[in-house]
Amino acid sequence: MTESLLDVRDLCVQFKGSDGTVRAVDGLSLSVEAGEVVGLVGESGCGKSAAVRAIAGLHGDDAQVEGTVTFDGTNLREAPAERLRQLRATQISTVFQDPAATLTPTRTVGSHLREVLRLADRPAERSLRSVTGFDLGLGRVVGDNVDSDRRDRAAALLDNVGLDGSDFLDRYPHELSGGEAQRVSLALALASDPDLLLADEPTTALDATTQMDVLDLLDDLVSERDLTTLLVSHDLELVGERCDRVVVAYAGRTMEAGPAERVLSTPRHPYTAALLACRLDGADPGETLPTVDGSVPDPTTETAGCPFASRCSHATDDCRSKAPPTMDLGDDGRVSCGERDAIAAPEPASASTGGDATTGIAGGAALDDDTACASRSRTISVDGGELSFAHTGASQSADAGQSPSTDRSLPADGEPLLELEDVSKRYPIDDSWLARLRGTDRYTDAVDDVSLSVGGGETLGIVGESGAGKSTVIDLITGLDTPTSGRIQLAGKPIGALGDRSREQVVSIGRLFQHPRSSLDPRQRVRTAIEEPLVEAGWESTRCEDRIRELLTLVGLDNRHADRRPDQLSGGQCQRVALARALALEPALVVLDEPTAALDVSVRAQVCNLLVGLQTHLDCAFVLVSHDLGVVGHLADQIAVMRDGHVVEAGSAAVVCTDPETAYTRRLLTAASGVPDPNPAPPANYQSLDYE
Amino acid sequence: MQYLLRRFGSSAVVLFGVTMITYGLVHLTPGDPARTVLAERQGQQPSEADVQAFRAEEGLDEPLPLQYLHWIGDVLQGDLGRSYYGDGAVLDLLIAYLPNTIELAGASILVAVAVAIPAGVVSAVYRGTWIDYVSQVIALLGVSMPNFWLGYLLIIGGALRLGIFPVYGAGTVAHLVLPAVTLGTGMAAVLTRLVRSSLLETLEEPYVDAARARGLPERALVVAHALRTAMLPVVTMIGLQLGYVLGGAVVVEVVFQRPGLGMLLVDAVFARDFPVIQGVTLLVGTCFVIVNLGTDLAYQRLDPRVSLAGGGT
Repeated sequence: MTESLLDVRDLCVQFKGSDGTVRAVDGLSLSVEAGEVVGLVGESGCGKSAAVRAIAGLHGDDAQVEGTVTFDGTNLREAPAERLRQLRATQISTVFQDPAATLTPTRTVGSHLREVLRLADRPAERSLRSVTGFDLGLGRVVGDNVDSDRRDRAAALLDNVGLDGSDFLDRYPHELSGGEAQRVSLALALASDPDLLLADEPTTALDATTQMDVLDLLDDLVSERDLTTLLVSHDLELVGERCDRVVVAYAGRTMEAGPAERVLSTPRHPYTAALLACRLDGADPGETLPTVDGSVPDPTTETAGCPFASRCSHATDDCRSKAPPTMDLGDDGRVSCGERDAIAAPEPASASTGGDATTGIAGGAALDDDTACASRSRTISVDGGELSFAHTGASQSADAGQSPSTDRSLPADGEPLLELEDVSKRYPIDDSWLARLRGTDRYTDAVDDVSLSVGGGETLGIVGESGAGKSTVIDLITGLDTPTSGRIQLAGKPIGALGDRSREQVVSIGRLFQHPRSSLDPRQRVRTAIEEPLVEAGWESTRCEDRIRELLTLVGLDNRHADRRPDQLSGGQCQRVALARALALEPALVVLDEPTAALDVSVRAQVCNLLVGLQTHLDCAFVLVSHDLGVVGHLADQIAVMRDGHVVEAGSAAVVCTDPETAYTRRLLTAASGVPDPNPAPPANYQSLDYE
Repeated sequence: MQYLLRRFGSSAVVLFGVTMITYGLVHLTPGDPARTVLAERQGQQPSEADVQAFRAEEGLDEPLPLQYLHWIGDVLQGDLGRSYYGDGAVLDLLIAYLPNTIELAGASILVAVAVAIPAGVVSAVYRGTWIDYVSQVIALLGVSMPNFWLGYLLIIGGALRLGIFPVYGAGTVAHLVLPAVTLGTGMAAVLTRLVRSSLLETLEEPYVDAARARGLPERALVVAHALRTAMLPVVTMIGLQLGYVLGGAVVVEVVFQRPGLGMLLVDAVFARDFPVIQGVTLLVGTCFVIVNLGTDLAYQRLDPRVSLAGGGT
């Protein structure tokens, strides 16, 4: 056996909480050899971040860490804190998930970099000023030479990560875009010329295109230096393409490990196979995607058997009661699974294994198979009379009792439900009252001359990177903002700001926000959250009660969830609750703002399925806003591509996704699929996208 | 610059409101200045004719709004009026008494900050240990203790028993110590708790973790990365505490017999000396507005994210 640079054995991380012990990491083992790039993959809540923190020795007293972490022959678990600190300063660097939050807001990029350089130069030095450059202005800084030298080195480091050193040194973190901030984090990580790089979801919080750029950059930097890297991500495929070996973790344990190519092509563990099957590409638009049902097990409960057993289609009684054996596959790595049938006959990933995973477990996520769909549609039609109130929202008819749910009072054929005509929104750059008095003429055009239309029951996808004006369009549609010029019409009638809209118009547009967790009040139970719009609409309590039950069923939850609070739900469940709330009054149109951006791949597939199913049953129109052309291409009928406030390309989803007109769209497509573009856009174009 | 202009504009409006309200309140209180003042001067109940004459002389017979307008008109010309008791121009009184109060306020804030920041930081860093508990208990005592009581305790201990400090009066640094400690204690206690909770919150921020991951020593983490952000609410609090200091100064100045604005105000209220009450109120209001402006400016220095010109983000 070769000596590994990093070797983690039976790592356990536990947090003692009021609801019992949380076993974040539960016997994880992995090793990274010098010069190797290893991917650590698993859904969120699988203890990946806790493991990274344990390796870097960043856990505080509240965490109990067990097992061994050997780095370069030293057992880090037994090393004194001071030694660990010096290792972090010189040999082990960590890049975290949220780039904007990991830079100190009160210090410039340059001061961050100089600090790291100082530390790396003199790791044993502990005096405040020499370490941080923290100067109260009391004394002259000794050694101006060294300092200006460090400034040059800092600038060079920034140049290295594709940022203009002289420009960025004096910027504060809030003056950076997400991609720029992550580049700075990379520069910081590389400043000490480390031997090991721990990258914890370095791109998850970024735009799809920026994600690609940063990953490419990371790739380049790593291969340039032959840097040993542990790359953590929830996206198996994305990581697989960039790593030599992949470790798949589930519920804090290693499920499967092996060469990236082998794991991706012939996954031996059912969990790996299921994860791979959740990918969007390859699926026909609108088709039901395979998902991994259920969710990661509650980390407070201890399971004797395989943690994946409850979601595994191959699970036997043995799996549930006995710890799964680990099989050594020689060069192919190892896999922890007791069910020989599942792992002995590996099948192509996306075809059958994933399918099994979904159909094998009944009563999980809603609308995964036809039976579920059928029963749901019955529920809806039976209760149709009761639901009809909300339909009035879309129409001229204000009479609630008349329209049954199937006969939606939509505008006549051909007339769009929602129409934006030459809509522009500009914000003054200087908004002070003096400027207003003077009548300033400096504006930014957030949205410029945009025309869009959505038909009833149709899905319009709006795609673009951050800053393209997508959010402004949403605000205009939902009435949180008024257009500077142009018209917005709902069912043929112009609508203004929220305050000018009739009750029906307000009710007929629902909205789903990007971050499911933060869009729900943490103190409100699910029932109250969904009830709110109903109470506002003047429903009686018994009718509300029925409607809530119905809505929960509709989004694939059940009445048990009604009394939970958001922190007792998973991310996917929160998104379902938020969706139930948006649909409570049966809007004719729902605006979905990045509904899947904050979710895991497997959960994303569930939510996509849910949306497709809902649209079929409720016949409501969606405006789907996302930076991920993959999701939009899957769900939308029409697509509008936005950039800098303009619509640069619009058309049917099939055309935009298969035969894009503009280089910009092509690039978004590439980013979505995660595969390098065979005909990359010209470099100039590439640059301008980078630094937007 | 534009921001400053805007702030000055709104400050003027605030001051205008403050003077108007005190003007109204002073005149609502029972007690006729004419009778009080004349009784003092003549040593007996004044005759009705004298009272009328005094009212006419001081303009007290005019309708209240008109009186106010006259007063504000004079103020704008730099004339704060004269004390009814012939102590001279109000402006001169203020100039004579103000330095003592500024001294006291400044010294007590200094005491408070000098105690609170180290205590709060230590408390936060050693959270949950005995150091933390001791500092918390002391802070609780400090908050709960009334000014006048602590003042007398200190006089008994520091001045009478030990004889280190003078019992009352003003003028030297030694005179300042006991009042400043008295006034600073309550503030220090509040600030300690604020520094502690604010720093604890900041230490949880991901960027502190990230800095730790870059190998920074713990002390550097606290001082260079966390403390500055943590100081933002503390600075606001110090600004707001100025109101508390000026209110407390009234009590402390009486306890220690320091000739300051607090004593001036208390005496003026008892004597129904309207011009002096108005003058002190205006001055205190102005100080308060200026300090709050300073607080906001300090914000920008501390946190580059705070943009003053654009109205904030």
